[in-house]
Amino acid sequence: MMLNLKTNLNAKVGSGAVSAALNPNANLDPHLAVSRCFADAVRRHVDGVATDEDMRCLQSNEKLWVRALYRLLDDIAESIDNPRTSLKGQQRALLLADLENDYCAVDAVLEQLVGLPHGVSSGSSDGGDNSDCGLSNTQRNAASGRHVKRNALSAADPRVANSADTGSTGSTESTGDTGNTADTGDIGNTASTSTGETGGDVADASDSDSDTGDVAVAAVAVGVELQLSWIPGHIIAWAAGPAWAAGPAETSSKGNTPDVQVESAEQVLQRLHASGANTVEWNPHRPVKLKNGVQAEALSARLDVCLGWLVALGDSAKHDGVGVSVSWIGLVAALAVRLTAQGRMVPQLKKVRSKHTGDTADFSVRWVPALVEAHVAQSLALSLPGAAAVFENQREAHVFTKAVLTDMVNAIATQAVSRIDVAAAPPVLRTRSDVVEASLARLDGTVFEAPISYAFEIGRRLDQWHRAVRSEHRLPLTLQLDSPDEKPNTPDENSFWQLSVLSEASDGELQPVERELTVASRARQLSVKRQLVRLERLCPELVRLGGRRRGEVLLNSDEAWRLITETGEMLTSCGYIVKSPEIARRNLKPALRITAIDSSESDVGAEQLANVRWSVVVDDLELSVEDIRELAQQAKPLVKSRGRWVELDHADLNATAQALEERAQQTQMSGVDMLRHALGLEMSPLPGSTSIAGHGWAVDLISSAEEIPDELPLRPEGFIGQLRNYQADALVWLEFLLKAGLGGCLALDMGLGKTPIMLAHIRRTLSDAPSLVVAPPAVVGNWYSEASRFVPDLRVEVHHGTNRCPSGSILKMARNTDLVITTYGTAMRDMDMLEKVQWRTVIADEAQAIKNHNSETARQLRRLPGFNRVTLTGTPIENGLGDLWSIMDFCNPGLLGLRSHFIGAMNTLAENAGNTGNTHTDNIDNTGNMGNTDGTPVENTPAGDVENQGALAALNGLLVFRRTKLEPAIADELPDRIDEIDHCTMTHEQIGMYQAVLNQLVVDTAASTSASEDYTHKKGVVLAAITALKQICNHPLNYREDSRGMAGRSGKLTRLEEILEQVFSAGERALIFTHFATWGERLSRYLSELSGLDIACYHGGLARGARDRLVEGFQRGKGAGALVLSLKAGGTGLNLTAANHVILYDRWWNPAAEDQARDRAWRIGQRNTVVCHLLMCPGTVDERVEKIVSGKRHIANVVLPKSSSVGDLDSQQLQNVLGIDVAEVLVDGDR
Amino acid sequence: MRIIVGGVSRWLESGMLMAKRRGRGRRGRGAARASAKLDADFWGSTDKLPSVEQVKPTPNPYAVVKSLGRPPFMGHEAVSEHYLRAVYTNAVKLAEALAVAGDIAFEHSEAGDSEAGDIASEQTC
Repeated sequence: MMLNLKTNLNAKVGSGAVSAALNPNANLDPHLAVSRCFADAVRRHVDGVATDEDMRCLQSNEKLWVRALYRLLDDIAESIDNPRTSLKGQQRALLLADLENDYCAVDAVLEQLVGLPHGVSSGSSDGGDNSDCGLSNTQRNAASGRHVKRNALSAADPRVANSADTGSTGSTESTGDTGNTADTGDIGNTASTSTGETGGDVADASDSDSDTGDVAVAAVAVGVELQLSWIPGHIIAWAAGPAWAAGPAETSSKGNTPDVQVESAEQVLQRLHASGANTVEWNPHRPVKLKNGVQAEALSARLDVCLGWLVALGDSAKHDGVGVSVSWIGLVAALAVRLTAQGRMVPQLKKVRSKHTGDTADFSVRWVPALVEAHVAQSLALSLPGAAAVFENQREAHVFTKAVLTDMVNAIATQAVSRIDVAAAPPVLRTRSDVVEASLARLDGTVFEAPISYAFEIGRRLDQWHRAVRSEHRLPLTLQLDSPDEKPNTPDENSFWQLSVLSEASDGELQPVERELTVASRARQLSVKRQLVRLERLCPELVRLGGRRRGEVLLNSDEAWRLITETGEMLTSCGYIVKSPEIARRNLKPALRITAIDSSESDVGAEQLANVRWSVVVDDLELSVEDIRELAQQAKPLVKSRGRWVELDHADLNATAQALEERAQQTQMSGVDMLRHALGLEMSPLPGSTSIAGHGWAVDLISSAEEIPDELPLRPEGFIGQLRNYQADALVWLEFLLKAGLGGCLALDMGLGKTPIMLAHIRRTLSDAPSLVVAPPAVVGNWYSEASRFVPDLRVEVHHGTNRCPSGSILKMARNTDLVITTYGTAMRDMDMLEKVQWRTVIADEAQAIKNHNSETARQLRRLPGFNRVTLTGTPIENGLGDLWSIMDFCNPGLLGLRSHFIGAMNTLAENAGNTGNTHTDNIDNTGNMGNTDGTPVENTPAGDVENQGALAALNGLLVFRRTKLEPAIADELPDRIDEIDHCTMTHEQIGMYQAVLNQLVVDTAASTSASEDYTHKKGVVLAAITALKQICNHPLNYREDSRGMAGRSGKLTRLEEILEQVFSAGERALIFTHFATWGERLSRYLSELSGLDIACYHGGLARGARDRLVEGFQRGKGAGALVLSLKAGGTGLNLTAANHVILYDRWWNPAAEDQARDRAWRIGQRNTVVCHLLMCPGTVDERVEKIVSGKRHIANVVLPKSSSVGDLDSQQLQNVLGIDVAEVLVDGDR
Repeated sequence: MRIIVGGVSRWLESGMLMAKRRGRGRRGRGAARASAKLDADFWGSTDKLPSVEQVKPTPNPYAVVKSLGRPPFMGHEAVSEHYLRAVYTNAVKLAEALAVAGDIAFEHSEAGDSEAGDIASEQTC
């Protein structure tokens, strides 16, 4: 229950025997003889185990209670004298420390009861009983002390209090001990009168201030921090801080400047709650007396209930408002927890108090810390802030630290004991056995009465028993394990590990323990012997027969491994230092290695045979067949890898031995075959991928792929612009391919700039031979425009359309150009001539066009001769590994082997990676073929197909350069939005319809005059025609209804399908905008049917609720998806950030409308780069709109455009503006 | 003359109780110097504080006791071992729980290829 400060503090107080109690010399009531029963109750209260009955008994006669406490103090004080003279050394120190603890405990209770030392109170308190019923034990304890104290203080002379500010204690006549108190004006030592509490409630600062005129209880002060102090069994919380930390000090009315600022108990409670101690019950405690008479109100809590909170305070010093004392207490608590967690505590049986009658006394079991590291104890003692020990003045820091630590360890251990069931103790203890039984039954620290002689004997035996772990000056032993010397990396069955026990000699050197046992001083010998005996109990191998000498033994690999992995940790927790060879807990998987021997780069080519040797690699360790056989026979196969010992799995070793045996006859291999092994294309029986070593074509190839240039070509020669880092990486990779004569697949995600990279590569590697780009018609224009933009000095020829160079002139054209751009359709038609040109690089853009290796396109394209071939695609695998094989087989015919073999090998690779838990890049590491592996995490790939990603990862960096937008390194480099214009083809049907509408327009407008009515009519006719032309560009069905279906009738629709295929395969979502709502509906139905996804259309004809549901459903959806929207209805106000692709299917005159549409996805909440695709049919009204839109866009940046005046155009002008540009238009048949 | 060493609270300090034992003026210049030092160190310094050590529970809670030999509970050795074993097991668990709650528990890293899976060459107490 939380403390109600106000209630408790305002409770009625008694004022009984304080005066008498405070002065032991005062005449005491002879009737106040302390009975044994009462004394027991007093003792139980001091121990914190008082019952309700005890409390009633005590509170019924507080005078007696106080007197009993004084008597107890006397007893303890007398007890202290004996060991000082009769004992020596550590035993004396321990005993004295215990007695001091006892003294403090009694002292604390006494002080709670009577408030202040007698020397500072006026001694004017009157007598009388103080009964305070109805409170809980804890509250009663706290409250009773406080009430009595208040009563005592209420009579304090304010003048005395004021004099205390000057440093004088204002000592009273009652003791006449002014000389003793005059020195106590220090912080925490000031025995001056209270100021804040004088005459009133401590929470009522104004009241107290009025009496004293001091500033004892300050308002919330800046420099004030939460402080914690320790008394036995309790933690005391208060808040204070030096005044200088709060800025200019507040001056009291008397001109005094306080050195300290404090806070009220309520504020302390708030601070405690803020620091997480809100579940702890805090009770009032006597104030903490600080410098110049300032008192800090305090709260106390039982140590055992706030231990959990204390442990978390260890590193709280960095937080504002928390004093160093808090951190210090927390550090001790953390140490107590650490020691207990290591089992480093032992029980003691201690006498609690004598009975004064008979031969019995009260005893209890107390848990004390063991094996405390000397340096830890010392550092804590050195850092002890006085605030933590504010109730302690004389004990040295290390003794105080030890007392706090012991209290905390005891609190944890006794709590642990309370959770186990033990047998009940005998009701009366008469024999030694009874005492032993009682001790075991009272391991929780409860007090029991026992015959002194037996209990002392048991206590002594216990002390002797754990002397070895309690001594502060024990000499820690070191266990050193040395691995076999004969063969450092692979110990054989007969090699042994040597375990030696060493001791630090007086000169600091580590010596064999036997030597120390012989030559060291007797004291050292004893200390070493104790530790050695303990060690031998824990490590029985040390005492087995046959050892060379004491403290030395040979271990087999099984024992050594157990020592390193299990026993070592246990020995460390028992206070020993264990030095052993480093081990790794990694699960190492062996992999095959092929080493090319007696060959060199110059004489071994891709197809030439080289002599090879097979071996196995485990991490960095190469093992021969013999090594594997030897290890497989060992009970604990250990190898040393990267300086650490690792245990190998027997099953792996057996599989390895078998794999090597099967390949023993394969002693020759071509470079290509080695490369195939390295790529994982030859299925390996082992989990790890095969690596290659030695010299030769394949090794050099892989080595060169790993080479990273000192400086990335971000601004390649002849390239206008700057490449991004990953683009420069790709450029380096393309050059590697060219040098190696290999083909590859540039598999960058859509929008990552494959075209500029290829253009930079072609420009950078210019030679006599031209390069050839084969691309879909939609991107031919883009290739040309980007070539003009980025590499303007490159001679580029578009070989496409009816105006293309005749097939007979292709050779001549090729000689005079650096780059020829053509379409797949044109290339097929002119293949006979194109294959006669020796191309430098043949580039297949949108390489999914050849993913079907049996297609005519794929077969015909293989006829194109080139120094190397490169494919470009954002989706190298659409339907399965067969796609990748087909694309890669175009690049490097035959290298990947048969299609079925490739698929099987890649599946195996993926399975192995999954089984070993390694990422794909780990596998690649083993093959050593990764030049650029940092961009292919499996999770970044949408489909999540393990096999596919495994294949890409295996080939990445060598034959594939794969990067995705989602990779953090790439995403960081990307702009938030990428705009792409997609040039679309027109089908013959579209062209025919387009021309027919245009012809009719010319006819309709030819007869019009400039009359106003005609002008309006003409304008209407022109606008209607433009709309019709735009619809035809979209799709014939968008212009005129028929029943012939959608597919294959519009180049724009075909391009849309291609884009969506890539978007969906990437698991992404798209928005498709059109300004024809009916067309949008038709489009959504068609796309739904085609893709199997639910693709809806958002348009103005839908009810508001339906619209909202559409948006919500789209936003909530995961993975591939699309939504068709009418530009007018969906262009504004919607939040559609689930999509990161925006496709503007048709264009609108007003760029603002397009911008608004795009902003549905490109807005706050969008985490990915948005790619905006603008579909446009070149050479048509679409392109003119694009130009106008471009113009408007430019203008729009400055001022909004005015409406155009199409009615002003004559027939010829209309023909020019709206007619088909034959040179520009892309005809679908070109595909 | 009786001398109280250590464990002396302010009650003794003020001389109320111990005047008859110690006589007057025991606190001389030395005590004053100590008080001055106490004054200077009263609030403490974060620079002096040691860092918190992570808590790693022992795999064998009873090991320390085992190293000491049989507990000297004559005639009840077996029972005492049984009890003590239970006490130590519980205490270690309790301490581990406290460490976790206090965010000072040793964090096990995943065994695997990471270097954290390695065991240091020297384990010191």
